[in-house]
Amino acid sequence: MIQLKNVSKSFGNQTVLQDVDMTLTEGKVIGIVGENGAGKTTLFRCIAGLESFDGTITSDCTPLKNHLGFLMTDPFFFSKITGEEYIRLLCNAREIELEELDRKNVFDLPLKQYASMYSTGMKKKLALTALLLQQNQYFILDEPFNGLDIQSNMVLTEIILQLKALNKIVLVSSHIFSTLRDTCDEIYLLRSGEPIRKVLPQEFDRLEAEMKATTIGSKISDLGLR
Amino acid sequence: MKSYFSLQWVLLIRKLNDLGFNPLISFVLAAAFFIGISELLFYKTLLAPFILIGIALIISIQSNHQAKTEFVRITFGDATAKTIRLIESLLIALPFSISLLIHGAFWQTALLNFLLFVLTYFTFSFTKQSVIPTPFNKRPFEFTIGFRKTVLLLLAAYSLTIVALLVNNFQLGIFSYLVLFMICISFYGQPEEPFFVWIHAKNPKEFLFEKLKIATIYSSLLISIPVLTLLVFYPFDAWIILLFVLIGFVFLWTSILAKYASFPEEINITYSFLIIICAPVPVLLLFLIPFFYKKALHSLKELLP
Repeated sequence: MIQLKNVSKSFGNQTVLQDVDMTLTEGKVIGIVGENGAGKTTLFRCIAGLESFDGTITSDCTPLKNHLGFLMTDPFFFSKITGEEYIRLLCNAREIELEELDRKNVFDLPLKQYASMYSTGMKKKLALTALLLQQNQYFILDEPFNGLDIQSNMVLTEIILQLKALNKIVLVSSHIFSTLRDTCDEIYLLRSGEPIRKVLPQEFDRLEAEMKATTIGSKISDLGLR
Repeated sequence: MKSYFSLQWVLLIRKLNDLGFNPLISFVLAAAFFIGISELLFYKTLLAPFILIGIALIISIQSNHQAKTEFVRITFGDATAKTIRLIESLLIALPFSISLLIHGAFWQTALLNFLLFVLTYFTFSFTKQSVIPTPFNKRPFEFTIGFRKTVLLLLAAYSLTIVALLVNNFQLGIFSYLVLFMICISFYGQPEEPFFVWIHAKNPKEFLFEKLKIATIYSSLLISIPVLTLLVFYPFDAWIILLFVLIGFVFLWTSILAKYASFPEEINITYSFLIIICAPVPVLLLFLIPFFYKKALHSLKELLP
């Protein structure tokens, strides 16, 4: 279990997270939705321990960061390091022995090539493969579906469901609502750094309709497209 | 091309202003500092020309990191980018070349400029796409990346060992593996993204010792050929060879600790000066190491609780 109590974060005068309370339990996939700048990434970084914050975050496995796989929106890759070496680097960091990598290359990545030469989608798949091979208990996936082709989208959805079946905690954000509908057990709606609602599967369609109405409104018709 | 150098000048002045330094006073002080250190080096050791060459090469490598090279290549095209890089490297090395010439080190000046030329023209295309195999696959990071970026410079350093044996120049032999140490130090010049520290399931102390251990093992691998060769050919000077190996390791460890003492920022200018000051009197490093170690523990505390 991961428990967040009164988690707040400010950058200067700007409050990015405000008293976030959440309880994340094993075997659940938790979605986070919100507009750009709602605080999703900052929330993830606070949970990971990459940002300082006010409040408390506790977990069953401590320290949390040593059991957490964090897929960033835009993973960073060094030049002159191959896909295989990147995976090895991440596994070494957690002292995980890497075996039969070719068989575990679920996205069929060209692991002998420099990772910095990969496309956006391939970079994301490489980062994800490395996190999965780290054998983490908790996963934070920030926009994991961005840039992936349709086949990889299907593979990723299956992976998330498999992680859930293995009793892991998966926290995922996405701007593609259908991907959340297919994977999540609950979705938190974040607005201006505050989780304003927790939504369960039976209400997902209503949430999507509400978000469409709020976000789009009459903006498209105002464009006067002909 | 002119616009690139104008922009670099503006960036340099802006950086000095941001640090709260008056540019004119900074240039005068930097020149005085450089003259002082190089004079001290020439006074203290016969290896001074080689140390100056090594420092000039490291600064040149550091100033041409991948992102910047890519930006210049995309903006100006391959041919102009190569010329820009060569001019930039020669400008960086200019004070070193002048100092070498003043002290009559003519062939060393030529060697420095030749190595800069090699670095510019060959690394540009040779290391662009192809995956260069390395012996550092088991623990890939600084040495894997660094080896691929400096492979030609490493080959040049090994060639120096051969030349040293052919002309029976013991000092050149020592210089060849000191260059290798300097290259290894350059692998730790830039701070990594905090994520790549955060991923480690270690506390700061374990993290630092792991970094030092890997650096020691892998640099030993790189220097082993010239050092063993020199030990075979100059057995009576074994203690000098091993003393310089020890000095090389101490500089490498100090540089790694200084990097993490400044983390996540780039290595602090003051720290760099402190390390350079220790070049003529390496024993001073023994005071710097505990200082940098404590600072590094503090800097890493946030990411590795």
